[in-house]
Amino acid sequence: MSWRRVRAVLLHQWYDTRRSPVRTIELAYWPVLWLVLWGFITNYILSAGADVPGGVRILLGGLILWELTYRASLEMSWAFMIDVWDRNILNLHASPLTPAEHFVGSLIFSLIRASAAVALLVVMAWLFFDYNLLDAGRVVPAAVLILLGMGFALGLAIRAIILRYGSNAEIVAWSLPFLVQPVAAVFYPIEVLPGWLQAVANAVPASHVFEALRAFVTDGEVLAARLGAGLALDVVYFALAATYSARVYHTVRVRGLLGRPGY
Amino acid sequence: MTAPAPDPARTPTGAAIEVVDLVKDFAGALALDGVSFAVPRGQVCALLGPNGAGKTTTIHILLGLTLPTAGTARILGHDVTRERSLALRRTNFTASYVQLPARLRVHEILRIFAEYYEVDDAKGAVEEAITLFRIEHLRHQRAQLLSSGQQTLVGLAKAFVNRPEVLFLDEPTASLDPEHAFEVRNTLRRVASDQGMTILITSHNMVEIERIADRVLLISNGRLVADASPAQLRDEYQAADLEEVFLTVARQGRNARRHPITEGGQP
Repeated sequence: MSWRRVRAVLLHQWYDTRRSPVRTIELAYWPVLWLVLWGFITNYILSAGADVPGGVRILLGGLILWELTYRASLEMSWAFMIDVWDRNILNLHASPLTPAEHFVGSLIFSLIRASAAVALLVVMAWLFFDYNLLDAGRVVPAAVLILLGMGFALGLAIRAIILRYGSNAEIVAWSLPFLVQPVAAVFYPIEVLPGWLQAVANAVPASHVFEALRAFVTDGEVLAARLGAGLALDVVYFALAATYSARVYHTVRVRGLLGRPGY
Repeated sequence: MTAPAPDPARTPTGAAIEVVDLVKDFAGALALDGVSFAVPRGQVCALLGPNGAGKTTTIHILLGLTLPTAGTARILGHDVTRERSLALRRTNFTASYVQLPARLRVHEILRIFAEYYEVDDAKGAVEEAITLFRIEHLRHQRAQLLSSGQQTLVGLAKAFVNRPEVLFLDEPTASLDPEHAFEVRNTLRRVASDQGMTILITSHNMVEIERIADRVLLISNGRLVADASPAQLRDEYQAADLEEVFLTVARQGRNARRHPITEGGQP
């Protein structure tokens, strides 16, 4: 692993972001839009006198923390997609840069972008909707770690899918996190799902995080087993995504896909 | 640049590029059928052949982009399948069909690639490459605003940014006007001579190849059918120029056989 090449990946991402108004604006646009929407929804629910365990504002906590997973996954994919769109994949793979170095560089950049987006949401939720995420206390650091880990594992898998199937598969990059969200227990507990979907939800790291978050806010209880399960699932999914990526890298080299003009 | 020294034990022929019994089968389509050749250091070697002959596949295997079905490919003694990063650090590549990061400025692109290749004096190397291809006026241009010819020149500058010992060029002058193509050919010839750079080049411009190549490898249907200097090839095929040689080989198609010419372009 050459840290100099990792730094060069970061430099590329930085130059590209600086020149891409869409990439810059997008970082704040959707998160803020969703926060405003859900902020007013929670205002309405509160004004109607309704409540949920842990308080209505916990929905905003779900929204903010889910942004970590979504953003980590999206940014990992985006960092790879810019080279696919620019048809720069061939140049990269013909250089000494290794897939692992590109991954690590993308991960660091994604971490910075995800942190910036979530920090903005935390401040806005506190200023405009009277919700302080840090009230969730000791669960927050573990939640951040697990949700980021899940996002990076998703991002790694999406990058491999795009490497294998080309830019036609980019819809996966944008849609996969949304496919997982209904079973991630972001806004409602696992128990409201049908039995078979509860089994699926229990296999999602994020669902354990949000269950633990709700338990802490409601009862002050830290569900260490839930957090441990989330972390263990992260490790499993990351290992699966890494294995799939290695297989895809081998396959595209066997099939000569990296050298295809326009790939 | 602190590149690792070649291991003499792994370069028994002392060749910069060494390809042995290379076979590439793309799911039943045989792109390479037992190609072997060695290019000594400092030689400008052209890899010619009709479309689909296996030229680009050979270069892509040498760059580690494509895995061979059988056989070995070495650059400066490093097996590109097993020691990809080590081998590629001392090489570079450009082609008419690759593009550059669209939103980045030319000097930024060159800087990033200098870092990928871990060039010691990255800033100096970028300036050197810009000067070599006379693209000072493009330094602050974004790649997306460049013409195809200008992109080609920047691609060539990128290929020189690590002062490579081995350079792979796949139709490098395809989109250049005659004047720029002439200048690029002169630059390639001069740098190869001054720095002892080894160049493996493909082109469909036979005049270009006659001007810059010490040696020609003719490939047809995945097989090497001739290996000689341009002059020797003209003599052996009783042709007026290299284009006539090329047409003869292309028309022979699958019947093209290995021509009994001394290997390596040596008399």
